Amino acid sequence: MRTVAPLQVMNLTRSLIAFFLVSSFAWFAASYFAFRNVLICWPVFAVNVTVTGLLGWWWYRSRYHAVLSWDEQGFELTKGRGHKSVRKWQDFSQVSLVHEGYGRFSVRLHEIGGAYTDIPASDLRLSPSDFRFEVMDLVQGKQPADRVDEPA
Amino acid sequence: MKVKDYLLKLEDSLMVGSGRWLADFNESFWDYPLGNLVFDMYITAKVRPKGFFLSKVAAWLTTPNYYVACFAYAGDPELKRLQEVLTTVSKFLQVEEFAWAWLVIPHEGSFSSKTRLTVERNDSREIGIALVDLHSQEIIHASSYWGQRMPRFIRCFK
Repeated sequence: MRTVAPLQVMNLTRSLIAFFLVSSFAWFAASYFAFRNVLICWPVFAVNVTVTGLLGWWWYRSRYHAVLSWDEQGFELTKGRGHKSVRKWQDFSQVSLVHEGYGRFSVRLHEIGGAYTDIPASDLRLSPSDFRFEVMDLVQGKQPADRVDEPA
Repeated sequence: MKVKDYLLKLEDSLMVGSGRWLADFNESFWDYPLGNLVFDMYITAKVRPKGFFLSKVAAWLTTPNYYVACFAYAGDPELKRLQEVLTTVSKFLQVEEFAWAWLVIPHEGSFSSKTRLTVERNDSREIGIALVDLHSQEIIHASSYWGQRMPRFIRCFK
């Protein structure tokens, strides 16, 4: 079974920026309410950065961090904490490559009923196109190496 | 250039390259079964683009929201089944309520003069057709509006 769980720099940066803004505005509001003045100094900035780092990391781990494990039978995808999906390739009938914007791709697995599951290939630092072909082979019940027309 | 290499470049061109000026090509299927045919590639798109708040508002106010598609079918370079392919695509457009579609026919070699004439004379209003000769890198397109717009977006040999 193969497992990938890289650090998603873009999502972590997004979390850090969001919490930096939130903690900054929270401090501005609190200090103005307490002292009728906005206090800005190096210790406050250091605390702000520390709080941002802790909250940003916690938010990233609980919301974005993805872990994908897969073999010939199926896959297990965990997104954040508590969003775990364990599926078999045979549950799906079609595979597509989805562009989510800004160069980020997902591999979408379609079920016959119309429901689908997305595997965030770009976030997992997999080559989206190559991974799509590998998943197509797995869904069709073939070994990935069976494809003779795989691009170089 | 092999057909598969060309289709990978075409997919890339439509989804993250020049195709974004025309529509938001966002989902691509390979070996897509439709009717009795299996299309080598099918990419679906929405004309209204994505974006942040202001872009979304601008797009909502100025751009109609309809779906379009690009099909690639390399299995019939002589166009013996062209009518069946066109009928299948046309039915798909009606059922799925897509506004128009492109049909790209790539081939590792030249097309016969009869085939070229057939495509050049095609004036379908909802399906633009183009033949792509991968050896000479020549594109022959239909005379219809959508046919004439195709070469700029499907010329992706490098």
